[in-house]
Amino acid sequence: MSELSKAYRHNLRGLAAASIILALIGASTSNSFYLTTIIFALIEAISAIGLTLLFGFAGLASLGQAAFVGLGAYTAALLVERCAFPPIAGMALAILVPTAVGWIIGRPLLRLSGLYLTMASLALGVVLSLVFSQAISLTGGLDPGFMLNHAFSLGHWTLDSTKDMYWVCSVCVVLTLYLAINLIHSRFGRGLRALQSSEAAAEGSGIATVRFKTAIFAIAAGMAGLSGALYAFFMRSFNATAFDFSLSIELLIIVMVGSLRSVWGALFGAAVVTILPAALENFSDYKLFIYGVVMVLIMMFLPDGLFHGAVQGVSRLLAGKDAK
Amino acid sequence: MAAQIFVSGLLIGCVYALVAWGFTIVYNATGLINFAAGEFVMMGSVISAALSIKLGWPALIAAPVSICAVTAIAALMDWGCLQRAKRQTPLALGMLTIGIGIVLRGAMLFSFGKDFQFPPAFSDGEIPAILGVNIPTQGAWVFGTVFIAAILLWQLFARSWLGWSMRAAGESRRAAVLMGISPRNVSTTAFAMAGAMGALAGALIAPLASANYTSGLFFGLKGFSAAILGGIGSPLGAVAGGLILGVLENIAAGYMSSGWKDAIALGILILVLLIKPTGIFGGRSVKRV
Repeated sequence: MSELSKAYRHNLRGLAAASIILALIGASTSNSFYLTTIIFALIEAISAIGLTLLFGFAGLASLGQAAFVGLGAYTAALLVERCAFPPIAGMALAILVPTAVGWIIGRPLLRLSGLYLTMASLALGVVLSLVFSQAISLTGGLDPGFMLNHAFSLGHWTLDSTKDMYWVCSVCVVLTLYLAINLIHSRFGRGLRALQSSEAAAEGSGIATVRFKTAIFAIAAGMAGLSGALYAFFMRSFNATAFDFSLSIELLIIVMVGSLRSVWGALFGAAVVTILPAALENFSDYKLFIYGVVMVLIMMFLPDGLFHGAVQGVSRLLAGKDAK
Repeated sequence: MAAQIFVSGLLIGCVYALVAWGFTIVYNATGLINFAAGEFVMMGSVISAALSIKLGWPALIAAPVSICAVTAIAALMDWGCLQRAKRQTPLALGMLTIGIGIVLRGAMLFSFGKDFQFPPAFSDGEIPAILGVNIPTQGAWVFGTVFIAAILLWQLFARSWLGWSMRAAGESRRAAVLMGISPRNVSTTAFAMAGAMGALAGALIAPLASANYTSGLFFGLKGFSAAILGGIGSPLGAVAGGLILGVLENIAAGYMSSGWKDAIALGILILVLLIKPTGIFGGRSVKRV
């Protein structure tokens, strides 16, 4: 068996393990505060998986992911609330619309080198978040915000409790991970890694770099849109501050802290970034400082992220045992 | 009305220009984007406001003290944190500056509190209206100080050994080392200078805009946009970009709606990136293989 297909098998086994862990958490947790925190982590993890593909694999740092999350959230919410779409169709369009927008915007921008993409995505993120807060007739802006009166449902089966949303989010995370793993282990994924290490060399070996970059940008936007739709159905009442610049930064931090080289890092990163502030609640004014210090230390000393740090630690332990 | 809008735009533009210049210095010397640049402005304004309100120091002492403090923090951030990071790539270090930005924000939060502070202007008195344009006294301080700072910095870069070594280190790290320049010292100096300029901008604008620990993101965004608008890497472009951004924003706020002003300014930025990605004053970008 070749190295590549071995890695693929490992990832699929990891996915099975992750599904079981998610199912166990869902079956054993009934405290709604914990469930809510975990749901937020799962929702952020979905955007972060997209950003890992974009940033970690293709080397394109986007500072505008929040715009696509918001686009997904408002697409789903508006279609369900104003156009009486079934929620599942709203969610599907919440994936498609950001994907299409990402494609259209990415096409001209991705001809530029990486640094300029970062700047353009930053500008795009801020512009769209302003649109969300100013187009009050559509989005409700900052005040009163958007009220979504319909719960998520599949056919006649209404899923409106926190526990139900936990299952919906878990299923979405597993599906997103499955898609991401398959992408990485395809010709497309290998092409992305090639263009990250040297764009010229990748182009030389017949990779259509601009098309590949646009495609991954659009896919990441679609994943962000899905997480936005889940956010909308879970919160039901939200305003434009949820999709501002700080969310884009938080997503980048999730990827940095989790892992740049593996989609699994997104889960680790999202867990740390959502659970740490909740755990630091008692430190009141020192909370932000401690949170920042932890992030800086991880980025300084574990440049590949927590996931790789953990993997290396475990393999070192195993190697130590073998030596004895 | 039009002249008034233009002059107020130039006023805020001066502040953006200082931040953008700080960005440019760090980018030229080290090749990395310093996302904590906005936090330097925030610290400059919060520290000087706290000194002048809580300790009752006169503004002309509080401002230089806060500038020195932020300069030291910025140098320490490079020396103690960025240079000790395990992975020394521009992308990883750029992300690290985002983390450091959070630390700095947190530090200001627990040292000086959550409240918005409104420090007094540097001097009392009123400036008579010139051609129907009213300039607040603090505005005159901003224009004067930024003008002098710009001339001094320009001289420093064009004429002094420090400026040469900074440009050399940015051009080619290895060649600079062979010429006896330490890229590490250059990078720390660049951060210190960016810190000083950011803090100067912050101390100057605090009496007009109030000081709060969350304002860094806003200033960072504006400085970053100004630097790109002018063409990243060009000091002249940074100043021009800052002034243009300030004026455009004020025109948008004055004639359309203040809620949309940032969208208009940044929309123009996206257009510039699409038409001339290297910015208004940027040179040709060279593709290295």
